[in-house]
Amino acid sequence: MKDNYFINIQSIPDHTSFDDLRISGEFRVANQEESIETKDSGILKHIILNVTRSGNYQSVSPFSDVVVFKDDVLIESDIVSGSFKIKLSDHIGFNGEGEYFIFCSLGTHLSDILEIKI
Amino acid sequence: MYLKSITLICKVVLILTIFHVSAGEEMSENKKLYEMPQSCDFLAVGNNDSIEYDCSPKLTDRFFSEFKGILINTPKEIIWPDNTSVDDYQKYPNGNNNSPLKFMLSGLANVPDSVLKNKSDEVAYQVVVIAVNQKTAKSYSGKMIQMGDVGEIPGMIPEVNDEPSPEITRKHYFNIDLVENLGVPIAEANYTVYATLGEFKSNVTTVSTKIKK
Repeated sequence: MKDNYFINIQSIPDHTSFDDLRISGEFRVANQEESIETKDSGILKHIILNVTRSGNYQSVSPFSDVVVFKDDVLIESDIVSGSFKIKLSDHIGFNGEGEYFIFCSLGTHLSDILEIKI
Repeated sequence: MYLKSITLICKVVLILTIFHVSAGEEMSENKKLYEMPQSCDFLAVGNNDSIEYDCSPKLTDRFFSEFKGILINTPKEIIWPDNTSVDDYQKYPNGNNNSPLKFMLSGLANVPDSVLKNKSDEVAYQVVVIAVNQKTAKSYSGKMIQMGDVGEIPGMIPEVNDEPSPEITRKHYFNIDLVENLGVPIAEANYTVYATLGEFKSNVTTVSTKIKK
């Protein structure tokens, strides 16, 4: 069952600059994950966005200051799932041209790394 | 009768051979490419050092490993002493100190040269380590701090600066104190830890930090 837990992300096309760059993602984890000391909709706040580009790097919690409602996630039995969208320029302090490597984590689950050239 | 016995023996030998080969293949598919030492002293690991320590991840085949990527090793639990501060201990210019208030990570990046776009960068110093507090979701990130470049040493043959190759994979060790370099606070918490460099991400470890009372 644990193999069915994940966090996935993909880039939303049609970006021409870093300011337009957005990603969408989805996750499915246990509602009592050992590595996430919260449950239900609070799990969204544990999504961590990691971005690196050349010597620059940043790691942030995009939903830490966002009001999360109960129906923002789907709770089925002991599993919580949901989807999200992140506009990178709202959270990342560097921009400009270059090769960006982007991934998210949720507890001990890591998404694949997206490589995006701007 | 004699012929039948020989045929039977041949069949048994054939079956045993097939079984042995398939078991061997399975073993090679499942063979461990690396090991994570746990019974080692993480306090003996030097912060910002790019050398191999006892706690560094070990590739099973040290010279021709098939493993490509990043490995990190951390203690499962850290117990810090109470009523003490890092400031009470001597600090060295390389970011090291002799205090017990450390959160050491030993890592290994076995990655192709082409992972860095800027050839003058050193791989070990570009690995980003991330620690996430499992309760507050606060994340801490940082790298090893590179001391000043000593410049060209007289008599030393300069390195040939070829185009970095995606075919050539090299081992790079990195050792980092998450208290000193990432700002992880001296407090009781549980952390999820991982590292990344370019298109590579490491294994994930979990660490529980406690204060001895």
